[in-house]
Amino acid sequence: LATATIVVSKSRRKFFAPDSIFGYLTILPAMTVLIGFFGYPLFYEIYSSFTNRTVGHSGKWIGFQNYIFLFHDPAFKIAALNTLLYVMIVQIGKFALGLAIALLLMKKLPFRKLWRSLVLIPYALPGFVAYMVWRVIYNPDVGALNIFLHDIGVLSHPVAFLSNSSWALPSVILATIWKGFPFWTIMFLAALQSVPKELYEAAALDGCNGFRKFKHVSLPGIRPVILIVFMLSTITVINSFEAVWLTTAGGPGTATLILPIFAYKSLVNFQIGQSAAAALALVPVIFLFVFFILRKLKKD
Amino acid sequence: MPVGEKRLKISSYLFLALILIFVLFPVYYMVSVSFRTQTSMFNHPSFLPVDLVLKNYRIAIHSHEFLISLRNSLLVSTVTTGVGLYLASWPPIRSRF
Repeated sequence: LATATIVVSKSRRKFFAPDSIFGYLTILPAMTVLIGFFGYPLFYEIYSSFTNRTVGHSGKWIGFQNYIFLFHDPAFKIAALNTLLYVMIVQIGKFALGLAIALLLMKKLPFRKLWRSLVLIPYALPGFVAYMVWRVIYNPDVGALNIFLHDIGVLSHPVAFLSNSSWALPSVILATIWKGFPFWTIMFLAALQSVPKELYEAAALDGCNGFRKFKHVSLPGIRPVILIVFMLSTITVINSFEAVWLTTAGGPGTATLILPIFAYKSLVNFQIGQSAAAALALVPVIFLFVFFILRKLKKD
Repeated sequence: MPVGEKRLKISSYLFLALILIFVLFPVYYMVSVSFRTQTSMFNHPSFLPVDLVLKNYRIAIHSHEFLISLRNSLLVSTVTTGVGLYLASWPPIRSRF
């Protein structure tokens, strides 16, 4: 312990030493890129959210007025609730599907490598292509889903899945799950393979059946990966603009209006300040979420 | 093989088949639709491959915009990969660890 303390105090003293100038010079290019491409836009966005800036008009500092306006806007409330619902269902779906498929692909199946790579296809497709295909599938006149449901006798009339206000959100959620679950599957597959085989053998000797092996060996083994994947994927889904924009564009009405779309729409109305406030409204929520996940991870 | 194990195996194959249909159908459908014309889509609505023609591809290849966007995509991907690769490989090559 004593040596460790000495090393720390030494490095502290060197922090301002003249010969560390060379060190600062070497990290200067990376810092410039970081500050220029991440720091500046972020702080500019935060500053803009406190001004009444519009396109062609630089605006004045108006304090929290944009945020107060947002919280009194009924559309913002709908967008926030939709975002919550969308993220929750998508994440539950991705988790269930991703874990189930990962467990299935851990079994000794013929052509297992082929199935493992085929399952990755949705993740590898460009988002634009994937959501365009889903738009055609959901189409009321020519779409495959309507034809299929009609052929098996579930539907008597075609349903416009993406322009029907009660079907639009579930349809978009299904397409988002389809696009995103392979990421969970690969991560879970990698984590499951790293669980030592001896643990399964020991569990079998102690008389565990399949489900209890999963509960007491696999699940604790992949817990850190579940938390990390859950965190990364939730951040992506909260910010997912293209999934909704390319399928329904937030419509019909406000049925699939989520916060990124809401922020974009106020930007299109040239309200830069309001748009910045809408985009930033979720940051505290994401921050808290990440904080809790990281704390849970630290406990392990 | 005991009956229970066999049943488990059959159900996991069934599950695999269902998953693969869900995962691969949109991909298949995208390819299948790309070979059909708009009129055939409306006149014979089906998700099976019927009335396949190469017309869409012919239109795409003969369209000036398609060629320009193809060229732009190639340019962007080559330049970003090239520059990124160069920048990323420079420190490991130059520095002595």
